[in-house]
Amino acid sequence: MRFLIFLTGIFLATLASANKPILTVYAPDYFVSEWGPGPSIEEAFERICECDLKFSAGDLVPRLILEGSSTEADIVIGLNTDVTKKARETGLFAPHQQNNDSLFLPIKWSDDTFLPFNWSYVSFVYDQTKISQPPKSFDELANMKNAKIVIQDPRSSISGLALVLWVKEIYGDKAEEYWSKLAPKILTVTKGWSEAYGLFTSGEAEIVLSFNTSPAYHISVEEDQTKKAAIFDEGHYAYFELVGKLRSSNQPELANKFMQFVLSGEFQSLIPFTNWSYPAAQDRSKWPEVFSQLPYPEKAYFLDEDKADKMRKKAIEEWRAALSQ
Amino acid sequence: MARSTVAVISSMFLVGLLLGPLIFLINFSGLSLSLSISDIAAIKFTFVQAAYSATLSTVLAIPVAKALLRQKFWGKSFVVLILGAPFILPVIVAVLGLILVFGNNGIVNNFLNLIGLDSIKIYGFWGVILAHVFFNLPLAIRILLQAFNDMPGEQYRLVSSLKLSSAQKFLVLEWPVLKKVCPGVWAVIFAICLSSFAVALTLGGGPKATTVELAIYQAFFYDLDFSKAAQLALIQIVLVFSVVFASQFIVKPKTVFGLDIKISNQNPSNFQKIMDTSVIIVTLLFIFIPILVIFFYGFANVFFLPFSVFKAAILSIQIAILSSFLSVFLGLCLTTNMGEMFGSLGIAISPIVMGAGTFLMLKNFGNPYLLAVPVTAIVNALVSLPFVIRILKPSAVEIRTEFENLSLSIGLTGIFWVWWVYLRRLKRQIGFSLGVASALSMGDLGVIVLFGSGEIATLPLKIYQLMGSYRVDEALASALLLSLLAFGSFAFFDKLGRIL
Repeated sequence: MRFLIFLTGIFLATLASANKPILTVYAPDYFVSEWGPGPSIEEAFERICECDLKFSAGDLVPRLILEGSSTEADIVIGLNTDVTKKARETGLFAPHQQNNDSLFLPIKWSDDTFLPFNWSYVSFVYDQTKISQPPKSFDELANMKNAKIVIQDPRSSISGLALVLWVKEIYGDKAEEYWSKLAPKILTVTKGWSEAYGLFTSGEAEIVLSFNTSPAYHISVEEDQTKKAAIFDEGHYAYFELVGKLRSSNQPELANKFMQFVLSGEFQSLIPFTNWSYPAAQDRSKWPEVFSQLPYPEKAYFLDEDKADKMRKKAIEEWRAALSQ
Repeated sequence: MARSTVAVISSMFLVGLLLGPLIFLINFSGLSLSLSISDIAAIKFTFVQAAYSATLSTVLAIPVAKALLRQKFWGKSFVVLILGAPFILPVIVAVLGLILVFGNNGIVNNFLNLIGLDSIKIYGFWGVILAHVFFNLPLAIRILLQAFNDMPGEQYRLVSSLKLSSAQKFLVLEWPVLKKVCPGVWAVIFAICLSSFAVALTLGGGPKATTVELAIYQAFFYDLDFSKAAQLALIQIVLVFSVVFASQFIVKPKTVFGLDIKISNQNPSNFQKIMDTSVIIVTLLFIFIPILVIFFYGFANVFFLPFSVFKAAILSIQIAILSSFLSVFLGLCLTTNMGEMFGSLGIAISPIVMGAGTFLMLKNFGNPYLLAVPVTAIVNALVSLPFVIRILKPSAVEIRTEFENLSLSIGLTGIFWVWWVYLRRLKRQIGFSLGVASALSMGDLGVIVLFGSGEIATLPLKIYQLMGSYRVDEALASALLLSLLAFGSFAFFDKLGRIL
């Protein structure tokens, strides 16, 4: 009986939206959840598109590979620069057809397939009540007394991988040596960002690998000013999240409209307080105060996907070897 | 014979369900054949930690189960009931609970510092073992306790009238039970710990604690090398399968005849009372303080959770009911040695590979996302199947040998035999296993979620979403809700099996 009701429900729902075209957007789970940017973006876009935007949550690139060209996705949002090479090689993506000059990023963006929609700097976030003199460089981080750090595993976490590439870019051949030096300070390594951040907020560690925009959450939601990002003189790894359009889309015009919408003021203004990161196509002067007042580094590191791909294996192996001792 | 046909058919069905996804994945991507140094290190670490965890959990469970068997005290049934709790907590939350107790800034270390002692360090090999024992010790205790309880009361009488020494008592009474149950318990815990990933990594303190499951995750999500993922999944299966296979040879069920009446006839000495009480108290402290800490942190927010969390809770309950009945039905068909072996595959197969393969399989039949709910229920049922079989099998085998001829002689066969003899006598085990299966399903994230959840949002998924968006307090509150629900369903079915 319940199943029949369920089927009827699906049938009626299909009827109701039959005259509206559907735009299917694949996104990571955090993005689609009610605490992420998904719901408000859906609402805003549906107001202007005469369409039904449907999010589908899951892991993006593995899923695209499994589905191949039969994928239902029109848009994939929430990719990061570390998987774009593999995503590009699937041949499933079409050019984004937007003007890269409308982006406000710390680096010049020249990719015409993947378009960044938000960004932040990978940073170490610390608890001010426990650390009075925050580190100003990787060396100072390694030499800190009485501080324990939680990081993410580069083999299972994007931010963990960003850190390993960041260290490799700065230290080059001496990266392994640096990791050996830092190793005693590392309390533990977690599978993903959530576990690490949970350890930090529950007081288990004083420093956590996160983003320079993380304190904005604590300031605006919890009115807690004690969480700060340590800014390193040598510069920070910039972390972008990207959106792409699929070649196989059966709604190419709607997909184009969505790509335009991503760069619009409305979409960009939704980013800071739902994604807790900087909007990619908005000048700093238009950011909410909490975000524009966050400390940020002078210099941004960014590795293009070919360089990152070449470095990745060695960098992870050095990290593993140094931390396994 | 009819019954072995049932077992053969169900085993084949099960193997198809479990290995089908892997075969589809291999067909899609091929199978990698080379192993790197870090792969071999991961396999070694995985095996060693699983063996330690399984051994410690099983060995420690023996004195606790015996103490619980011997002592009568107020609230005992509640204590036995609540032993199911660690098992059903979502991993991410349980780890947090353990760290709040045993971590750097945890209760234990704060206490040690207060009395001027050095801190203990949880992160490392023993941290991994500690967490795995925390998860699995209660399960081992419950299964052993059940087995001890099922011993005919006449045996105790006989033994006490013979005035045997305690060593002799052990050899006559307990050793046969332990020999019958422990290898199976050990093997199932070994299998669970084999697929550990987040627990091992976080408490292991770094990449030294890399398990095969992490390597599978990396191959799948990062290197996008599915053939490597399939290879590692296959290695995992071979490891579990050989251990379970070996455990089959150790267990030679010895049928114990009695009047089928439970008489407890135990008069423990005072010394034994004190020992037992301390054993029970230490175990309870170990298991419950981390859970109490989560309750403490989560309680304040549990009434302010958004509606969507409660909606997810309802879906989780529905899936749990579906999957627990399916699991116990399959379990009842599989109470043979062969069934036990094939049933163990449910925890041997990496959830990632299972999810990906199921996805590929379903793709041929239409939209996999529409099938997310039934698929989640089925997969959850398969994951709890090894536990269900462990719980059902010893008594089922006994009932069959004990009552088979008797029933035949009065012409009680077929479905009537199953109903009047088999199921009636197994009702306690059925209740317990329904409870375990529903609770396990409640706490499971669900494999399909990895590859696109569509409309399905279960409670564990909500907890991960909350953790992923800075909301640790609400995540703990939702975890509290989940624990209460899982625990409630466990208690409900377990009780039902006792009173019906």
